[in-house]
Amino acid sequence: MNTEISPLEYARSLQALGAHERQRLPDWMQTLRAQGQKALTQAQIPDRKLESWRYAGAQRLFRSYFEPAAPLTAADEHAATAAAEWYTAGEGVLRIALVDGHLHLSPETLARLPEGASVRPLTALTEGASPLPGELVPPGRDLFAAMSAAGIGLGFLLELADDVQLSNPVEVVYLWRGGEGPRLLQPRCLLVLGRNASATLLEQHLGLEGAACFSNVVSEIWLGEGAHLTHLQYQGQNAASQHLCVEALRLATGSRYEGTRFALGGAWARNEIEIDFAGEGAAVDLAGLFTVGKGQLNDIQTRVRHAVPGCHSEVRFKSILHGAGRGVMDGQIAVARDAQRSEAHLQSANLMLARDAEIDARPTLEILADDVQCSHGASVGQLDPLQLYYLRSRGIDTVTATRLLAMGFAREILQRNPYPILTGRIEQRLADALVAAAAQEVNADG
Amino acid sequence: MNLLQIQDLHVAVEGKPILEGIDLSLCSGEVHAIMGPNGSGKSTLAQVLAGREGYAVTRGTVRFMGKDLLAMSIEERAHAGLFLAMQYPVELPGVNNVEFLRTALNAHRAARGEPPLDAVSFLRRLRGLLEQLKLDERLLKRDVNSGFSGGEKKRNEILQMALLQPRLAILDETDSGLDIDALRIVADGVNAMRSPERGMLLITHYQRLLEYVRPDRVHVLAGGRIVRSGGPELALELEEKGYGWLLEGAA
Ligand SMILES: Nc1ncnc2c1ncn2[C@@H]1O[C@H](COP(=O)(O)OP(=O)(O)OP(=O)(O)O)[C@@H](O)[C@H]1O
Ligand SMILES: [Mg+2]
Repeated sequence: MNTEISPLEYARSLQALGAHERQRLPDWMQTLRAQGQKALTQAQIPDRKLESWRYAGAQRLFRSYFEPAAPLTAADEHAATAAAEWYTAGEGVLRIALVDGHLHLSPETLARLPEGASVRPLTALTEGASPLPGELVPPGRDLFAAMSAAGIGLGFLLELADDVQLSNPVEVVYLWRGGEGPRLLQPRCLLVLGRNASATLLEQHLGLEGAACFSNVVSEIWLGEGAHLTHLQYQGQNAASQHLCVEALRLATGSRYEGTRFALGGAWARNEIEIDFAGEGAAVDLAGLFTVGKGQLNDIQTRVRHAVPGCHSEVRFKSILHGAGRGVMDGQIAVARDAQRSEAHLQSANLMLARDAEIDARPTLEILADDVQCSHGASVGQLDPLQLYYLRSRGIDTVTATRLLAMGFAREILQRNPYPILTGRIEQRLADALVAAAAQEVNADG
Repeated sequence: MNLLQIQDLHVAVEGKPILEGIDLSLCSGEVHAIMGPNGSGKSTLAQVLAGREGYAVTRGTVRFMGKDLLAMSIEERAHAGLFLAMQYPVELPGVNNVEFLRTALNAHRAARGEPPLDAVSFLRRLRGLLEQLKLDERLLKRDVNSGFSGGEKKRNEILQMALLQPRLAILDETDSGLDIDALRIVADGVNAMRSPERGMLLITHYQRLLEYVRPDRVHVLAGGRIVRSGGPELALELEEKGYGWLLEGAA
């Protein structure tokens, strides 16, 4: 059935879902749900008339119906075991699992948290806490933010008090193992680092083969003065899934954010990363790798807003297009009039392996201050025939040579991840896709 | 055994004739040198033999160990035992040198129906060669030829040759840009490869390499043709007199 579902229908299904649990929800959550539901009644499915959806609209998402997954059912042990095999950072990490809509915080993790650090389900957040979910990504932002607010429940808060430094990485596994029919999963994460706090967050978004889901993820990240967050994210959804991940960051004076994204999976995938500098001298170093295979849409949206002086942002994404799909890298930098001494750079490099792939890579700058150092650039290229020849002259077949060169192109991004198990997982997936695609190309030629 | 037999080879690049009737025959156990002025077609000949695209053979035949070389793909030629140490080795940013070398060796093994060499045995073999070629082990950790000095690139080519053990090695100006010690080391590496089963084609501008690696035959390539062939003494004569006297004769 190719029936598009109206936002209103979504609103109703989400409302019904929340009804029986309403009394158990904290007041702020009930309020946010109500706001979300109200926003849903007005929201439209974003189409290409909207500026941030100009390259690829969202209509395709609504061609199939995703039953909302019940978010607040008690966590079961299966969730913990199912997630266990996916962790990659080794012993001594703090583990959070969001499996099939259940949140599981391992008791070991909770026991290991140093004083001043807390990990809690969102439902444990009490009225009057600050910040609350929905402040950086408000329900009125767009349809998906409205959906997320209307169905809020699943998710966690990680909070570090001033000067708390986590020596072990926090590892989060979002996993959908499948169920009856495609599901809508709407996990949310709220990360709050106090003054001079520091942490490493390692996130994976995964789905077992054939388990279709639409994950509508929202992360809100607050970095206090001088705080430091290292954040790695791997999106390895299966080919039956749709994945939207909206991340909003607010950086206070002198804070630092180092982010790396590996977006490889999903039939339809979109990352939106919004960065707001709220204090001077803060720095962001964001890099990512995304791939596009046959029939796949992979859409990266970055917004960096220099509203205050003296901040530094580096955004660098690479893509490998190995099938007849579509990639988008829509990066924007805005430097406000008062944001003097800003430094902002934006790069997009794209490797086209498939003739019939499409890429829109158009970084844009809007600079109102005059004392700034800014640059942007985009490139789209193919494999260098001379490099291919060199490898083949050493007896290496074209498919393997293509894989080596494409991996070489991705190397500088891959190297940002220090966890060998995750590297292995990413490289394996990438290699499988490249070999399958290259073999197809070679067959098409022969 | 006849390793390489080139007959009346004509090659054009972008419609422009570069090689205009090359005849050359090389047997197992022999080392031949090819000399000749800049732009005379030496590298073109080497690249055509290795199978580089964009070089159109307009006439002639090449047989390699009895087979039609020109009908083989680039990697088939490599598997059959042809190796070209390039005049300008190609940089492969992001491709680790060890991984490259191992992939190349295992591709050759697979073509022979042998199982891949495991990482440990491979590294052991590689270390031995490094020592022989006095190559810094750190070059292995780096990306293939990326940021290598001129001499390091040339030695990395010799390392590949020593690893892959070809039947016919073509060395295109491997001696250019090497310091005196490096030249010695490369020459030793080449001599170590000399065997009754193998043939070598050394493209060079300098007599010095030929002092270390004494060739059986020396050919002079000029204007797309071999204008003179002789014994090792021909190289000495060229060193003394230059190419002018030969070109006059050819014209
Ligand atoms: N791709 C190309 N397009 C146009 N001309 C080419 C191309 N490749 C080679 N040539 C020309 O063919 C001729 C022979 O070049 P080649 O590289 O074979 O010379 P060479 O003998 O190796 O010279 P050197 O001693 O300088 O290395 C030169 O005139 C060169 O400019
Ligand atoms: Mg040359």
